[in-house]
Amino acid sequence: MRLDRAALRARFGAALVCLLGAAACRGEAAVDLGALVATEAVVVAPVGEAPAALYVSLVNGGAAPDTLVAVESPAASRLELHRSMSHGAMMEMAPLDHIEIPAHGELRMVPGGVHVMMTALRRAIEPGDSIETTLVLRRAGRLRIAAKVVSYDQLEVGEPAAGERR
Amino acid sequence: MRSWQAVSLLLLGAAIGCGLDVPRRSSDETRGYHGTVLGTPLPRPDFTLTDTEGRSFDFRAETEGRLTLLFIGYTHCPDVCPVHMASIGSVLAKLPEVAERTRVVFVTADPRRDTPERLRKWLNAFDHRFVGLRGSVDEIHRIEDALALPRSIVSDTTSAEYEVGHAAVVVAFSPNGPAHVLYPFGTRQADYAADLPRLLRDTWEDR
Repeated sequence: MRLDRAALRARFGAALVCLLGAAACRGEAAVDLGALVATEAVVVAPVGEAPAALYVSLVNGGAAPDTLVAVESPAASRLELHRSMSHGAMMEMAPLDHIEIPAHGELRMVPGGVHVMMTALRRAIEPGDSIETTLVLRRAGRLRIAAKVVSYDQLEVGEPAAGERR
Repeated sequence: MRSWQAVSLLLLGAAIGCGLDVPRRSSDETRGYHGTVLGTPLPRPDFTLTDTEGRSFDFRAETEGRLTLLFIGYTHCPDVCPVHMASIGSVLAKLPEVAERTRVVFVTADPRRDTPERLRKWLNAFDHRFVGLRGSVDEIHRIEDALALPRSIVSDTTSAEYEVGHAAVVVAFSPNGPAHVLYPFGTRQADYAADLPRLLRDTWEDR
């Protein structure tokens, strides 16, 4: 995962939250599937006909790596893993087949980094909604989560848990 | 998560947060700005494109005397473009006196998909005053060249959801002309809220 400053700040913030209280990481937003915990699932409401974006963090407490191979949701026909990459001042986006979550590591999706792009939406996605989503993992299997819908101005970048605890 | 894992994550976070973070520039170089202060200011580019109402928009004439925030992006963009626009829109909504003296100009790097209607509707979601401009790919490349930004790249247009690579920075032109500050992706609303009023006041005469 690309270590941009926003991601670093977000990562540090999340680590702090985990230390201060395991409950914060096991709250309603967190889904625990054995060694794998999904947290901070957020969908950003699309603007006009633009795609929606899903961000979720996966913490792997296990000794084996796992791989996110697909994301499914009744709200959209197409969900694709993407990574935004910056080369100097240039920002480019590339599709990803899968993403590994390292053993004792995490995958933190953030704006400007890894995200799930949702297109061919099957219903309106409005701030305040909850979007049912299934993360398909090679080892852990199917992990069902509910992602809270926020607007882009709530998806404040460069802060801990972007868009989640506001 | 077990506590030792939480601690090791915290330590990892701390190590990354402290060790690899970009060193802060001295206050002389940043002048207290939260954006990236340019060593050499960028002159206001001279170009004319078409706005979402089909009118020709002479950038220099239309933005003269105003703080002008220029961004080149596309509406199918999942996060960089809408986050910048939403952040600026949200800050301007809270600072009406700043908004009155500021113009936000969004140039699409994807004129094929970004029809005037689509561009207008997308910008209206952030602020109906935002100007949306369209031009040919060559015209956009000339603007990017003038601003020393990387040229935008439209990927394979045969796929329905092709991607566009583009500069992730907002270029802030001072009311008196050139741009002295850039806002990279990751700029927070608090950063814009602190900097925009200052950019309106700053004459940069000491430079």
